Amino acid sequence: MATLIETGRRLLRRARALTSRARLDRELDEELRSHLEMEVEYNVRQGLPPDEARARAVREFGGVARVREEAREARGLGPLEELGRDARIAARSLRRSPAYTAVAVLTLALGIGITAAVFSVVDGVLLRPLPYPAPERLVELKERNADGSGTDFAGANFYDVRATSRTLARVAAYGGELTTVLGADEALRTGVAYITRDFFEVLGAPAARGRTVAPGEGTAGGPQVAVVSQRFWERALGGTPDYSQRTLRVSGGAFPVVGVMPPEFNYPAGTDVWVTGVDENPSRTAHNWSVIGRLAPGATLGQARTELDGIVRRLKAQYGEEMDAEGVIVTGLHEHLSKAARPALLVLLGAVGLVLLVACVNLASANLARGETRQRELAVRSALGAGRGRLIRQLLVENLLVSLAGGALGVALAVALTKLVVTRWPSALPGFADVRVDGRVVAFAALASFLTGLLIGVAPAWQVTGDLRGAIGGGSATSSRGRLRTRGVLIGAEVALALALLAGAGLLVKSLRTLLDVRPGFRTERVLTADVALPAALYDDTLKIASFFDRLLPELRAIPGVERAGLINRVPLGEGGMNTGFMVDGGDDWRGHDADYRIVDSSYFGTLGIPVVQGRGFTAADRAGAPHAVVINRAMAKRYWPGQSALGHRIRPPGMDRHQKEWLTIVGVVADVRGDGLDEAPEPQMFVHYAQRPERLTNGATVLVRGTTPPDLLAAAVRARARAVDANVPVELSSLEALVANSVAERRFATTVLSAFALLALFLAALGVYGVLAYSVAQRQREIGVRMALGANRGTVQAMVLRDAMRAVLPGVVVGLVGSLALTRLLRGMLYEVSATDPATLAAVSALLILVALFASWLPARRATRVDPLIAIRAE
Amino acid sequence: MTAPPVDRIQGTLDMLILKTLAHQPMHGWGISHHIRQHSRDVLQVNQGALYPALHRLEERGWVRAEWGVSDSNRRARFYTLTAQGKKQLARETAGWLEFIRAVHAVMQLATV
Repeated sequence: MATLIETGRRLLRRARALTSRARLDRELDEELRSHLEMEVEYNVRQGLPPDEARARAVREFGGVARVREEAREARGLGPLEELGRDARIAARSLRRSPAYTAVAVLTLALGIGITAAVFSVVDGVLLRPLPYPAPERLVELKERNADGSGTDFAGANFYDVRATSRTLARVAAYGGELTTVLGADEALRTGVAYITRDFFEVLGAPAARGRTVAPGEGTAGGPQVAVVSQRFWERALGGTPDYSQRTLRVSGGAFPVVGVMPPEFNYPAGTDVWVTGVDENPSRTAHNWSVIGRLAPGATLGQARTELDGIVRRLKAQYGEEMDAEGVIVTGLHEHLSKAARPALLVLLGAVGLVLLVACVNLASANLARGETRQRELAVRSALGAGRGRLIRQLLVENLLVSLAGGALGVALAVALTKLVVTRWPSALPGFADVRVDGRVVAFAALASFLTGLLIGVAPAWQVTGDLRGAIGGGSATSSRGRLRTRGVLIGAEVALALALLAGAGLLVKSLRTLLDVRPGFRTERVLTADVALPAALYDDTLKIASFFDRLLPELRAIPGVERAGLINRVPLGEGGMNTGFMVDGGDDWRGHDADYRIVDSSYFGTLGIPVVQGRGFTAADRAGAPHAVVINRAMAKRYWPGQSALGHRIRPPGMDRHQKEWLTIVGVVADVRGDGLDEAPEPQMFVHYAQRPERLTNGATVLVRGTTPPDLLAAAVRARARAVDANVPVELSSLEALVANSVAERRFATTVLSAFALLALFLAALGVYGVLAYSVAQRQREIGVRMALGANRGTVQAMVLRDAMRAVLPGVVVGLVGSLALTRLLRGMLYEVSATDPATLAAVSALLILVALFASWLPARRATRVDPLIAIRAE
Repeated sequence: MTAPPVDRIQGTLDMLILKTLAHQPMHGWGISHHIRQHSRDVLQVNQGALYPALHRLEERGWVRAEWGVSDSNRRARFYTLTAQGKKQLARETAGWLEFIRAVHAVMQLATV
């Protein structure tokens, strides 16, 4: 206890010694003065006259300055003070070699910057908790199919779960889509979420203005309401308090606006309008709803799983064939939302770590070389009494200064990069992700800087200070052989790391190229897409919907420069769409039959150049009153009528539209297209004609306009014609090429980033090879001069230097290849029709790396042979 | 916590100071006067040695300093022995006696 107090007192004193040195000096002066006075008084008491008493006291006292200096020294330097002194020395020494300092700081800024940027993405997507109260209590529910896969909830099943569950405090269903909202300042096509009454309660999210759903609202027969996003409120409702006077019309219903959510509320991602509703569809297989819940106090995820699974299994037992779900899959909400992005992010994080490691190795190697040239300086300081620990600390402080400067620059770089990613590649990140450089990221960068500083400093400092004897006199490379070997190992490591990165990047690039070479089965050039959002409130019957397109399509075809124009409810590689079961040839069992449901016009196939391989496409004869016709794709024909013609068979989707009793006759088969993604095999699809079944076009319709000119030249005309037909119908324009590009955006993002990392690593490795060789050539100038004087020709000398280089590089390549074989496995899920050990890719990146290394070593090798032997020999 | 070994001469001065303070808290001049008196003017502690030593002892936590007022009503810095200082004094004393005995033994042998 006493020790503790004493220690505390001492620390206090040290702190004071640092902070108030002036005061301590003053105190010491006073103390000495008082001592002198006492001595004078004593002398007087001994009987000396005052003058002499003072003179003697002063004489005996000696120099005050020296006493003060010694007393100050006895107090000791505070550790902070010493650190400050080290930092000053380090800064001076770094200023003396500006080239090294600049390269080192920039290298680290780059390394730490990209690492921090990737970390900010990883943090935003995987680490930072969702921005709701007790986010770890939020779960996501899916119905479990017989094969164990998950699917959206049927409304009826959701209500049964809600009524029975005890492990969930609250549970809500929601479904989002892009659709048309009327009642704002203008008709808008925007993200709408249909929610059940407890949605906001589950998330624990209050409104910023007004309120969310009140008790009694959102119930069957009760009032239904709308809540809007801050963004929507500002842009479409004028941003004024009279939002509460507004009523929005969405999808056939009218919803008074009761509240505005805070700007950071973004669930489901991209939603601007939340409207309540009750799904009265009794079907147990209409899988339309995403479901989230909040665990009841005390309930665990495991308990919820057991209970909910039991509930659905009991339902299955009760409803039998009417129901397809066999249980429930319960996942943490955060885990569910970040699942898709996780593998790629972890790969990128790993990759960026490797790049940083390469940068560190590079600087450690440079440090060794630098340390060698500084050995004389260190030896002098050592001779003057600096201990080895002191010298090591000095070198470490120097490296920490460099790495912290690099880290500070790196944070600035990370801010820029993060902004770039968020604005340029929004589709590459999950919608909920909140990616920014905040305190956590800065702390991460600081930690990374500190660790890199240690990493690049410790080993060289240890080695350089290890044996300083002889360094003063000779000053030349007495023990540099061993150090050169160390640097060779470092180069090898660098090469190995760079190769692993290059291999990963190479595989991703090859995948992407393979994928982009996939023929999607439809024309993408010069096709403009116009998403047309018919407001369900205005287009509430079959005739109105059909007549809109009857008017619009001829208008568009009349635009100069338009070759063809077609219509479909869901464009290939687009979003949305629906699928359905169907009965066959008069039967009444739809189970086991399943196909995408597409509504087209008669020129859709022609517009996209999709060939009719059997039978016919649609014609003007497929009118409203005529028998309903259906065209199917080859995948559907093959699956349900294998080895025979599908033509003439009849099918009937039971719940899709207003023609549930009407049979469709298969009149044609068209070629398959890759509609779900370039890397996904075509699924069975049926096409109906909008003249006969237009109802579902209010859930989304896209007009495709193929022109003789690039799509953007047609855009204004298309927009104007659509507005002329009905100004209440928002139109959003894009192009098929953009859709294709968008469908590979995530993959392209990962590929681009990983390639950039790999190239950076390659560059750093080349820089490392160059640095080491340039240094060793300079060290061996004399030897080389002698060799050349003895008749070695340039070729021999160059070969010698290159051989030295390859002695370090080639083992690195071998180690890198072995490492790649292990590491690229992690990429397997991200590859498309390329093996994780693709020999061509591995060979290509190895060759690239060796070539670059050869070039990097050729430069110093060439310089070596330019040496004038006489000068080289005389140099020492 | 063991203190670093102290050089014998310097250590002797430290020991003398600690011993002096073992009786009562004292200021710098008082300490030097006390040592001078009790050694019958043999040991004259120079201020140039005394104050660095006092600050060193304070730094090690063996003495504690406070401003106070001397007998002659002068402001002075009074030093007090700490608990650790007492232990250190005991250690030094034992070491010192051992040293004296050793030297004494050698000297006796030499005169024979």
